[in-house]
Amino acid sequence: MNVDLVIAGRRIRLCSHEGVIIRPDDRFRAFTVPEGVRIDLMIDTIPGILSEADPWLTGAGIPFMTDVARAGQASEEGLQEGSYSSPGNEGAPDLTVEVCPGSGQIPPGAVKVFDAQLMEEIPGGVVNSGEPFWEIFSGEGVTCARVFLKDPERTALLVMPHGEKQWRIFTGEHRDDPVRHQQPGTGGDLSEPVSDSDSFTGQPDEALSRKQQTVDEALSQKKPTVDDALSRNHPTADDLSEKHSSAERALIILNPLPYPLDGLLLYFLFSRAGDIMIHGSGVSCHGRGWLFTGRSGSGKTTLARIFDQGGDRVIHDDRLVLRRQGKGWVMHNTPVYRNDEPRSAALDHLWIIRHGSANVSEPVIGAEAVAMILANCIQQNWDREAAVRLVAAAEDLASSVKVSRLSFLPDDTVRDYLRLRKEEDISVAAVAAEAMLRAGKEITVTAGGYSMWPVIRPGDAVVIAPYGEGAAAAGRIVALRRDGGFVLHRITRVMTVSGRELIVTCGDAAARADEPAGPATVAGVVISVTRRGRQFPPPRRRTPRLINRGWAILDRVIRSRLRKIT
Amino acid sequence: MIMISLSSIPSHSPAVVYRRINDEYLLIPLTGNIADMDSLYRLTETGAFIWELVDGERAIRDITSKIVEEFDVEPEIAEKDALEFFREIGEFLHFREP
Repeated sequence: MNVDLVIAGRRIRLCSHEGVIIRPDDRFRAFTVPEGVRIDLMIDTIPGILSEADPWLTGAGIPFMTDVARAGQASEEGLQEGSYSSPGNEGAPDLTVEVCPGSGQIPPGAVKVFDAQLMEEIPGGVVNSGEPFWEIFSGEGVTCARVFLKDPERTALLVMPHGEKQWRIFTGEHRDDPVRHQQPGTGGDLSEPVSDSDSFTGQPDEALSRKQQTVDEALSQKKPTVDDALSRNHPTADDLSEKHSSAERALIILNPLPYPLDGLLLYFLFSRAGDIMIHGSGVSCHGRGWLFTGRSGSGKTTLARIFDQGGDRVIHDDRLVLRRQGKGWVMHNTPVYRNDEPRSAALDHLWIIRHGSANVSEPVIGAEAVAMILANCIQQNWDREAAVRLVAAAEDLASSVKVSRLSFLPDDTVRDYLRLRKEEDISVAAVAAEAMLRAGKEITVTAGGYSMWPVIRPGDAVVIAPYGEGAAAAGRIVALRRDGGFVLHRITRVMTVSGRELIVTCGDAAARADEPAGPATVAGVVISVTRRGRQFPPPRRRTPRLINRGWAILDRVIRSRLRKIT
Repeated sequence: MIMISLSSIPSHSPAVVYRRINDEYLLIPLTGNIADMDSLYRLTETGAFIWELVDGERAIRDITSKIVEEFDVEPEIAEKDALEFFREIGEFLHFREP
C-alpha cells in the first residue's frame, strides 16, 4: 500500500510490501494526501540494505511499476493525475520510502560520523543522559540514520542511498512481534507512541510542556485497530482478506515514522534539496510573513502566543522549513504536534530575538546576518556538502529577506511595535535622509557596522552634514551611497584624473580601499559622533593595531547547547 | 594552547567550511558530535585578509610581512598579534614546520 504525505510542499510516498499496513501517527493526519486518490503501487526493490532477519523481502522482490504504467493503471481506475487536493504536490513524489519491519543493518564499511545523546530535563536545566539517541553512518554511496526507540530493545533505521530518491525505513518492529502481529479484525496495537516528544534530541525547550500535553492526549486515545487501519485505507478489509486468500495470513501494522526518525528523514530530505530547517516561530501578520528565531528560552513560543492572541495566523511555533520558491522564500510548518495542519507564508522578515527591556528592532546585514541565521538552523555539521549547501542557502536567504535583531517585551506591545512601526527599510530611511541632506539639513544616523572601528562603533549616533563643494579632503569621514543605504568610510585620497575629481575611501578597519569614485557617491560628511551621551568630533584614524582578536575575529556566534539538532 | 611560532606554516583545515561574504569570512567547523557543534566564527575584513594569505606555503613570518605592508603597524606588534590570531583560530588550521 501507499501513503502519500505532503510536507512543506514536498511529496513523500511511503510504500509497503503486501501484508504491511502503513499507519502514520496523528501528527501526519493533515499532511496525508486524502484517500480515494491514492494509487496502490508496488515499487522496485530499492537499493539499500535489507536485514537478514527479513529474508522474505529479498526473496519475494517487490513488483515494480513505472510511472507510465502507474499512469495507465490510474487511468483504468478512473483516477486522474493531479487530482490530489493538496496544493503544489502534483506529479511524481519528491521521495519514495519503502517501509519495512525489522531493524535493518548498517551497510558493511559504513562508519559512524555523527551522533546525538538523549538529553534529559532536570530541575534547573538539561543534562546529557549519555544514552544514545540517534546515530548517523556514512558508507560508500549511502548514508544511514539509526534511532533508538523508546523500547530499548528496538532500533529503527533509515537508509538513504546517495543520489537516489528512493529510501528505505526499517521501523524496528519485527514480524514475529506478537504485539504488532495481528490477524485481520482482531484488533491491533500501534504501541509505538504517537510522539514521545517533539524535541529531536530529547532536549526540552519552552514548548515541551505543550508537546508533552499533546503526547499525553494522543496516547490516551483509543489505540487504532487493524479494522480502523483498513477502514482508512484502500482497499477495504474484505478486499484485503480476499486478496490474501488466507484469513490466517498475518498483517503487520507499521508506524512508518517513529520518533525521532521522522525528524531525521525530513532533515535529510530538505537539506539535500537545499532548503533550510530552522527553529523558530513563524507568523503571518497583515499579509507579511515574519519569522522569529533564537536560542532556547529567547521567546519564540511567547511571540507566537502574542501574535496568536492578536488574531494573526501562526505558521508554527517550533520548527519551520524555509524554501526558496520563485523570487522569494516561503516558510512552511512540518508535523510536530498532533493537531498540526499544513501552513505556509511568504517570508518577509526574519528576526533574531531576545528578551529585552524595550522593543527595539535593528537591521543586520551581510556576514553577520548569515551567521545569525546559521546559528539557529537545524544542521549536522559532519557532512561538508550539506554544510556548504546550508551556508549558501543562508546567504541567499539573508540577501532576499530582511534580517534584524529584536529585543522585545513579552507582552502585546511588541506586536504593535512591529506592526505599526514605520518600515525600517534602509532604503526608505536613506531616501528620507537624502532628501534632508539635499535640503541643507543635518541628519543623525545610528552606526551599525564595524568598518570604522574603533572611531565609530555600532550604536554610535553620527551626525552627517550636507556634502558641499570642496569638502573632499583626505582624513574626512563621509557617508557613501551604497546598496540603498549609507556606509561611513574615510577619504584617504583625492585625485584628479582627466579633469575629473575622484575620491578614494576606505574603512579604518578595512584592509582594502574602495574603488575610486566620483563625488556623486558621497551623500554627506560626518561632523560629530555621540557615544554614551558624549559628543565629539569625528576622530582621526588611530594607528591601527589591527590583527589581534578584537580586530580580526569579529564574532564567535555561540549556538545554544540546548539547541535541538533536527 | 597550540604550539606555533613564526616559522610555522599554516594551511586551511579540511574540517572547516568557509565562505566569503562581502569582505568577511564565516568559518563553520565540521564535527562528529552535537556537543561540539556550538560555535562558528566570523572574521572581519582584517581576519579575512590574513585567512586568504594562508596557502600552506607561507610561514606566519611571511604572512606577518604582508600584514606590515598592508597596514600601518609595527612589525613587533604584527608578529605578536598574528600569533595570537592563529592560536585563536587554530582549530580551523593545520600547522607544519618547514
